[in-house]
Amino acid sequence: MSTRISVGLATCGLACGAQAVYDELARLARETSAQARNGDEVTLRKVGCLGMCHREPLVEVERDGTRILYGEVSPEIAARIFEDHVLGGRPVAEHAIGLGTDEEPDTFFAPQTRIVLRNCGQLDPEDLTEARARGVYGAFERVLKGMDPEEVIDTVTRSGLRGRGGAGFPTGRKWRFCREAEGEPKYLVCNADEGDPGAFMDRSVLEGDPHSVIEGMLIAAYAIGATQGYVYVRAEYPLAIRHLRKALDDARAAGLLGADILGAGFAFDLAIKKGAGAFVCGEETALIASIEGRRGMPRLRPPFPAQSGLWGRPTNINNVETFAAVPWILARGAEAFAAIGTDKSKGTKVFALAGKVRRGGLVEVPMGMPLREVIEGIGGGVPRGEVKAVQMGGPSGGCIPASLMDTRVDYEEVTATGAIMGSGGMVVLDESACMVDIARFFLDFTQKESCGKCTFCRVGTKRMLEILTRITEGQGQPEDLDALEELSAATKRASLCGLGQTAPNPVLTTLRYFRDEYEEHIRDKRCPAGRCKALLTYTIDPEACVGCTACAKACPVGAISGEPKQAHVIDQVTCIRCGRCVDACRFDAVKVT
Amino acid sequence: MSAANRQANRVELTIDDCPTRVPEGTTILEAAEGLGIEIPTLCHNQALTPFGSCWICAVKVDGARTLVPACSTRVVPGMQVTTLDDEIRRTRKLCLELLLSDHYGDCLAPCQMTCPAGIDVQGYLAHAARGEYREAVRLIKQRNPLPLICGRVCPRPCEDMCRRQVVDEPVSVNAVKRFVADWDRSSGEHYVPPRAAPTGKRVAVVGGGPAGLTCAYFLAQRGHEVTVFEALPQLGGMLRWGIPAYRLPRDILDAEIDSILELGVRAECGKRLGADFTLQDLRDQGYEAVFLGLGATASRRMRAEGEDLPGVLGGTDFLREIGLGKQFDFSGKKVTVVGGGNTAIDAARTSLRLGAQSVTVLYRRSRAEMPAQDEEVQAAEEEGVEFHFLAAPKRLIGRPPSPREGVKGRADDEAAHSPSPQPSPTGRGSPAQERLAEMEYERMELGEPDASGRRRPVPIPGSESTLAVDVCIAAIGQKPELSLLAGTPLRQTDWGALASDPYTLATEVEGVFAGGDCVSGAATVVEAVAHGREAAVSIDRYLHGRSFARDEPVFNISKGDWDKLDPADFEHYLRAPRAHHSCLDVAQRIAGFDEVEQGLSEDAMRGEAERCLSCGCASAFDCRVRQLAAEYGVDPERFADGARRKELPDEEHPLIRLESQKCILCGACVRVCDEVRDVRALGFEGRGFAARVRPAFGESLLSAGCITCGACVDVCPTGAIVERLGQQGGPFATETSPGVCAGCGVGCVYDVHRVGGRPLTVRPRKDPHQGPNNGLFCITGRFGLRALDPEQRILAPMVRREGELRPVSLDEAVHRAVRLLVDTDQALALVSPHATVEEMQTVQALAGALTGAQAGSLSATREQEALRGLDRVLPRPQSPASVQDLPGSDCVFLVECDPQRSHPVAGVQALAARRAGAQLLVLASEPTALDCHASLRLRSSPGGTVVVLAGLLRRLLTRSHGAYDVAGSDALLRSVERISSAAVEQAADVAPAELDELCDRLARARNPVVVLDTSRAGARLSQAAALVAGLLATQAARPPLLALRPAANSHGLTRQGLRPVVLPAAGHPTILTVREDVAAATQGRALPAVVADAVWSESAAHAQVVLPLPTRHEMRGHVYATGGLEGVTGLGVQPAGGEEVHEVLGRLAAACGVQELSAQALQPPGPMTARAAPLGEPLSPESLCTPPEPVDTYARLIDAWARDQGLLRD
Repeated sequence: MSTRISVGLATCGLACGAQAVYDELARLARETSAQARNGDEVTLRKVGCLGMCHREPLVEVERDGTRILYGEVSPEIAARIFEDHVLGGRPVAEHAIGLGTDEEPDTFFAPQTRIVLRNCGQLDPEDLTEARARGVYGAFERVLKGMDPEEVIDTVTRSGLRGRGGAGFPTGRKWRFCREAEGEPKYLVCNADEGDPGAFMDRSVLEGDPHSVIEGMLIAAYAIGATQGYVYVRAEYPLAIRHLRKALDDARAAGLLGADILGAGFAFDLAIKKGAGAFVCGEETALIASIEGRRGMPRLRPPFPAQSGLWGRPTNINNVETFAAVPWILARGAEAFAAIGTDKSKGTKVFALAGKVRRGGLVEVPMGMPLREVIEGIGGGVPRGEVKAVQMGGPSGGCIPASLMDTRVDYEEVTATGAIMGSGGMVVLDESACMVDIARFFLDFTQKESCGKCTFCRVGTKRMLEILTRITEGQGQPEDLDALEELSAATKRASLCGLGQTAPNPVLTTLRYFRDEYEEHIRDKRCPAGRCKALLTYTIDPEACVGCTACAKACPVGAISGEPKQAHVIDQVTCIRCGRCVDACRFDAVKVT
Repeated sequence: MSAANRQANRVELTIDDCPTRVPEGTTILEAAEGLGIEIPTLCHNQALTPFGSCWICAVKVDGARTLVPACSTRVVPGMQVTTLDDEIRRTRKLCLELLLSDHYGDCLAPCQMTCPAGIDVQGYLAHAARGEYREAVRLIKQRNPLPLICGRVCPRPCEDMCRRQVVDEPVSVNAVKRFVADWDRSSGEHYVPPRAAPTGKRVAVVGGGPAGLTCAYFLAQRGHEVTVFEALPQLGGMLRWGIPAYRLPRDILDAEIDSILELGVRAECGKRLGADFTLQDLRDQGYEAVFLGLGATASRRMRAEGEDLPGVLGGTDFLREIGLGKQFDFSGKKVTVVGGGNTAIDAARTSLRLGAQSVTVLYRRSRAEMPAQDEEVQAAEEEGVEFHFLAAPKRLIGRPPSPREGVKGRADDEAAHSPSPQPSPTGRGSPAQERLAEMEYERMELGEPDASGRRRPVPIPGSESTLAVDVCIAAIGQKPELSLLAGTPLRQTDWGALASDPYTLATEVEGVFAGGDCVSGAATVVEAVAHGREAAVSIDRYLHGRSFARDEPVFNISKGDWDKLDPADFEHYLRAPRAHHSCLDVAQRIAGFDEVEQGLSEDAMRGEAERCLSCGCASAFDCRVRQLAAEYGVDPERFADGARRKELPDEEHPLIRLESQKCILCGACVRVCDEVRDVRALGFEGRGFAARVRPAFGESLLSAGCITCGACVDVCPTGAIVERLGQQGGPFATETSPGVCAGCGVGCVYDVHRVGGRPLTVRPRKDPHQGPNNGLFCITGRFGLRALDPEQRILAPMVRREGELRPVSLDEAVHRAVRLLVDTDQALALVSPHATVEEMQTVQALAGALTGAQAGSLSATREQEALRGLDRVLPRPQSPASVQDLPGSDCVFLVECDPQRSHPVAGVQALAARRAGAQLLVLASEPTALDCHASLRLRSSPGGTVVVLAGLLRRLLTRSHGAYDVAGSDALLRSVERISSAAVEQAADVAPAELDELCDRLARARNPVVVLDTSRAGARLSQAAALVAGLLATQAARPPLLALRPAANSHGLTRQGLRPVVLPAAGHPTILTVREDVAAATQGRALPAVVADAVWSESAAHAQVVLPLPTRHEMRGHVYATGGLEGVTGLGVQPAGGEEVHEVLGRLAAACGVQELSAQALQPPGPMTARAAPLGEPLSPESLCTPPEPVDTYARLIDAWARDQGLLRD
């Protein structure tokens, strides 16, 4: 009887205490094998992100051919699972996802198509043997032995794979440009500088399945004729870097990287370049500058990196997710990939589903799935109230209003809304979100992350941010909206790189779909969502107030006065709108309008 | 890419619908330039890699998703470019507004912005602080022809806005103006502005007051024929008839008027418009334009009962009549003046001087609201004038005079020229004969502010009281007197002024302009001056048939009023109290009409001028952001309430100031420092809005490795990086004269920017055809002028007497020098390569005239060996190649030299070649600064470099190609036959493979340059390098040897045949040195008798006679730089010592017997070589082996040397 226990030890799991759970299970497993009861074989392994980040720490027990996933596991629960399920064969129903009263894992996983995430959570990322057993490097070996580079490029082209970094440029075409470019050597770069706040697709893939990324790069290098590659990964991803480094060492030792790969005379090696975490370094030309040791500042294209990239040589840059999809395409064929998705957007897309949604986490869906199905189906909808909007594409993206929830998730339809597919950030907003504040939040990010080169991106975004801040503080003027539109248009039209060209998107989409909300802020000095502090009024309902004095005691600025057992009053001038009185009142007497 | 190839790869495109064909790789900006289409730029700089950050050059390309930066977008076939449309214009304007929203400073200082006449206050204060008084006057007179007058009576709004108030008190601006104007007046030859050629056009100026006089002054300067018509008997208007002499002495007024008349302005006094002539008369007399500066001469009435009583006078009427010579005697009288303006104070103080028993000023508001200048009010108080504030006259009460009073009263009445009815001879009987006795007035309180912003006085009911008054002067304002213009088409405003355009001052009548008080109502002198000047500009444009629109739109940003600024920004200024002028004591004052205020002393005035904080931007004259902002009509306030970077200027570097708060982050400085200079002292820091340009790692500029070349200053499009010109550094509009840097042999050309005849700063000239540097510069060239301490200058001839040098006349010094030189039979004249060709010629002539004398150079000894080596191979001068040849070279071969350190501009040019793809080959026994850029670097053992060159010669000659199989090469080959690769390795530690590589690369080069430093090379090394260059010359047009010489005129020295001099070991010749320091060079072994130099030296300190010479910025003359480039230096700068070269040295030479050494005789004998032509005889292979004894000597030398090294055996 063999039992396999997998603990999700990606960053998402670790952050929720999965290490303690793992340690407890490891201790129990050691003791078990020491006692060698019944000859049971218990294997315990570390795996990457299992996807249901909202239920971390996750432990999966595979016993008797069935798998049961436990969520929110503490060391104590782990001990119980070990005792009852691993040793005793009795699943612990109250902690198992999909058993008893809990939701079906099917509602979360069944609508997904896991291509990029095919191995994530399914194997130990630090174990090359296990990876190869699951078929990693198989596609590369077949390519190396049986296909010429043109065929590889042709396959990728036919698959319809588009760059998953955000811009959606056809990958096959990009490879061909680089292959055909004059100049030696050629370089291959994996862009793992995942910068969108709240996005963790690339990190999860690198943490959970680094070999597939290396395999994808090997295939690309072979197709393009590149001999040296870099993985540009931000230094804030230490676990991803550790797993990647181990994977590179193992692959090199196994002859999968180096001078004469698998004896086929093909040479390619990979190095890790740690980025210091500047958002703009995800931009290709800035990324190249950063690898070269210069300040990460974009430059005008053309020349494109495919013509003149790293050290002036032809360079091909793809994102982690793109590379991870490549082996699958080569293994299953271009047609299998192209069969998934829509007319112009093929395959799947990974999203980091977050915000006001019941089930958040790493999800991979076929292109073309209606947004509603992702949010309500996989995500289970918002916990309270209604969906107000979905923010897609991170700070470069935009807000898709609830009225457009039938939008199909593919490059064209998402772009038509004013948002972008982006690298995969998907934040669900409910009615408590103030759209002006959301725009301000994202603009604050891009504004700070601008490299400072282009005038509009450096100063224009700052001025837009100031206008938005002014509006949220009740100081907005009607002409502010015109200024926002003028600055947005100019910044989009007159910036060198994607950062500036997309920075106004959160402003433009919220202006487009939620203009009335802006106007309410400006005209009525009112925030309909009740988020903008400066625009709130706290009052005490004299009918409901019993004069318990709790609010007056809680008020940090002494704005509340009143005799005990008498209705209290808030002095509006002194009030700093901190909301502590609301929390303190047990009678719902404090009203916020 | 070959020329033919480039021709083939041309790209066709259209820009603004104009088709064009340009080479592949051209940017849109360059293509547009070719079509004459101008696209604005800020971050772009031709010398740098396109960056594309500012977006001011944004243009539209059909089909492109975004706008594109024209500076960095390369053309593609079929491209359709639009360089200007609504969106582009809007985008550029917004771009500038954003840049300016984060650009904190003042274009022009608030004083200048406030001055109605727009005088460059900061500029003239700076001149005054530097002692350049004439320049200060010139600058003032560009905007105001009346500095003597305004220096005394101006209410000086400039001082109210002076930022110095944040530190302590405002700068006493006007006192400085008065000082320089007084200085100019008493200097003997006062400033006269230049006058344009006569235009033949006549202009009539009606009214001889400040507006009319100013208008006449500027029109006359522009060559127009101007006549001033004045109604009263003398010119001056209110200056003469309104301002008492104790404030404005009449001789001062007359002097200033005379300085205007001397420009050819005619005056016709006693001619009143409307009475004596009409506008039509003027037209008939051929006046093509008329300026009406009629003034506001009519006193306003009080509208109080009894106003027409005898004894009641109008303020201006009163003052005018005094001016016209009427005698008033106020002895024993009680005078009340009504009003709070300057006229009221003038009337009050004048009354005191006329003997009044008491003078009271009645003003309906409080002291704080008084429009009169505070200092005037104070002076009046000091003199005994009493003030009744918050009081207004209600009724003037008359009383028949007593018989005694009647006599006196009648006299007064006549004198007062009262408008009242005829007094009866008896002075008795009718009410009309009553005269003023009392005034009933009421108290006022201040109510709500009125239109003027001042609180309106409101009578307090029942507060009436009376005051005994003999004379009441109503000085409550004036209005224009336009009754004589009734019936003309000239329109009047509702309040009785002439209507004219506020900007152009044109009236609605063709060719008639109006300004001054008759348009504005009673105002200040400086406002009238402003009108007069504006009108002159408009009239000039009108006369030339041009529109009134001004050529240059103006734009200005300001930090804001001083009281709104953060005092912390001013904490670093030292406090220095304002200087106050002295005044006559009160008794003296009221005894007559002597000028009360005395000017400042020169020291106090200089101190005041130095208190100026120089608020205005150092780049105000050439800021591209400012120019564009004006052009695009930018609103600087658009985002003014947003955040901005506010940092105090970084003053740590003594010569360069960083003003980060003005930085627009174009990055040109960062790029030039990195790309061109290879220094990287500046870098970007931070992200987003907080991104900025900083010295690397937050260090100060110097510790970040700055080499002080100033390239960043040159490329900064605004005032964020500026040259520090001291606290009082202007900015000034400058005049330029050319110069050649004497710092080293490169001979960089520059412009000396002069102001007031004195050099202010030096900027490299940017023209690849004019000099070797093409805009490049190093610390020596840019700042060498600063190093010249005025204390170190020799400014007067001196002669040693009783052991000490004493100043004497030039004649005496020359006489003494001649005696010393003639009285010996072994005179030695030493001249340095810092001297000009003319100086060298003079010295040679001088030596020729003396028996037994010889001329030579001591400084050249350093190069002696190298020159001897070069002499054997090359015709003179020995550097056929120039630094200018470096950028275009495809292979730069540095032989034992380190130009980055010794000749920085040559180093930078070598680097430029490298960056453009050239090979950089370095052969040296020591590390050089260019090693890290070398494509091949050979490190020879010390002293082994010459062997490597010999080996190289052998390899070149034996290469299979046979390229060098020419006549004469056999002999050369034989001489180096034995310097095998192995021998080279053994002797010089350079591996055979390295030598092969060097040889291959040189042989492949199409356009090589061999670079040698004559100060570091011995004879054999030089000769060998010249031979290598000679072999390579079979491919190049001329022997590509660049000999870097130590001084700008080293070649001139050689050319003049001034040989290195070795001082005799024994015997003491009588030495004359010209710009040489023989004492220092010989450690005092040899001391000169006569020293001619610009600066003190050890030699000068020991000399018997010292003669002053001009510096290189001052002297006119010629130099020959590396490559035989001829340069002209120092045109038109007055030498500090006062003497030109031919005057001092020429007189010495003449006194020594040289005949006909005029300035003409000193012209150099034409250029040494044409720029493009080979120098002298092209170095043929034959010449390698023939004269002057080349190969044999060389072979012998090599042989001898190799034998010494044990490389060769017999």
